[in-house]
Amino acid sequence: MTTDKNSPKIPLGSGSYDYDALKKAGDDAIAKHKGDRAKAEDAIADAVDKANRSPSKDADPRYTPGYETVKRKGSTGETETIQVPVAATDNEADADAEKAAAPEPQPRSPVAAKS
Amino acid sequence: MAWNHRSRVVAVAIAVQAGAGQFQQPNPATDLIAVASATNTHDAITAADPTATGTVYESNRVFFGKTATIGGTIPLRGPGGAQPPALGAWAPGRILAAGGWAEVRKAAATNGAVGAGSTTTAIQLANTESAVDGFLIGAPIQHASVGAGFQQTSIVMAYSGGTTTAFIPETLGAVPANGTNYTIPAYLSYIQGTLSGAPVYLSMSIWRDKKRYDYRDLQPSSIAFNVPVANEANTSFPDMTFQGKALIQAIVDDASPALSSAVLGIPVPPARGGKFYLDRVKLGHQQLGFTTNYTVAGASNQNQASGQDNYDILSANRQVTMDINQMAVADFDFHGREDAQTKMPVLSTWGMGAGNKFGLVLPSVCLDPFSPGDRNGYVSITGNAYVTEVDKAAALTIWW
Repeated sequence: MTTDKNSPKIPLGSGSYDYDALKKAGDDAIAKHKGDRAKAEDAIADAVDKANRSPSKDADPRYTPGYETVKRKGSTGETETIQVPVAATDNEADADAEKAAAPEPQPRSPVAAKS
Repeated sequence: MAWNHRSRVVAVAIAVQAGAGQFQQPNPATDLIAVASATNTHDAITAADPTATGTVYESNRVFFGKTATIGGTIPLRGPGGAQPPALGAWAPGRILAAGGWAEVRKAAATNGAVGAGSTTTAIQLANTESAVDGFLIGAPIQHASVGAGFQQTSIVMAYSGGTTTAFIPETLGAVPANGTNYTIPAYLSYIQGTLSGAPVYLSMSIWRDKKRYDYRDLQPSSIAFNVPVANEANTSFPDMTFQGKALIQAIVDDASPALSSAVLGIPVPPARGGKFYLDRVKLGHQQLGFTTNYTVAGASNQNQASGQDNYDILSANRQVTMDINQMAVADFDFHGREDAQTKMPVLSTWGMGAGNKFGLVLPSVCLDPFSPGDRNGYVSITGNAYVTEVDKAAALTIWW
């Protein structure tokens, strides 16, 4: 296969992508890191991840609020992107306090529901 | 008796789960897939009780639970309509998503002017196309030099973002002239990725007349495309066959829903009047197959009720099968290509009408030895090939 070895590649993984959004994300990443192939490919990987419209992505704990994206060197020396939990904040502590103060939801009686 | 259930009354619906273990009830209005056949077999997970019974007989086995093997054959019919459906809306594509195929949707056709430097195997696209390598793999591309009518479309097998050059898996009769127009039509493409990220889990409902079987956490153990040429001697259609492992969610009484006339009104297009190219040479053939077999398992985990985590795809292998008409060595030298392990593309296109035109492209395969045989009185040569690429090794494309 013949491709330009100097152009950054696009890793799609498995997901659902809108063509125009994916094109813009890739081209923006290249424009931002012009001449630096490694950085551009990292940026494209992030952009592709953001462009993924896979329905299951939002429910994936790696993408829920409270997690952040970090880069690290993998075992083979490749840079990889992972999601890690961010440290607890005051807001989270407040949310926990609110949750503790709220009344417990009562289970609905199936008998009452039928009548 | 009126309560007997009829085996021909079958319907299958499939939905993408929000996450592992989260059953998503398929909706008969939006999630039905038009299958030719479906299988759902239930298997026991048991362990032999080693206790001696004081007789010749073994102890009763200990029942750990049940698992299911789900399968089906889907005659390949596109979604039809005026433009590609929303992302994730073409139900058969959800099986591909679960198998690690990325879905790309281009909503509208775009035109551009061919630049200088095209060849009979590469089209120089406008400099406004993507700067990302590989971006257009699987994209349909149309130009007057590619052909006429349905055959005016080829599928991009490789793409250079630095030069905006689209490489096609066929050899054109003439070089596309500088300044002439090309079109990238609206399309829906499924591109086999690296499975580096976790693919989606599927929920599936299979109705057998008045009973519905629900499954969750389906992961495919195989996905196969079979594209037989249709003619007098062979009247079969291209299809996609899948099999997978799943967990039983529920079995309930529920009447089988009928497929809508909107789906049934889209004809299943036969593979004829299209294209078949191997190593960019137009060849007569009878069949092209592409199968991906996955190893699916769940990691041990005592904290789980089932003693294991959700199913994962652990490994996969891919195989191409071809049944080709024997031809002169001067026209196509199989023997030489086998010995040299030449990397070559495969292209198959067929279809009928907007949203029902298919292309299957394998950008790079190498051949196992092919052997001569008989097919309806003609000499055929059949054999296997293997994809050489890890990423974007195959694309199934539907265009409008």
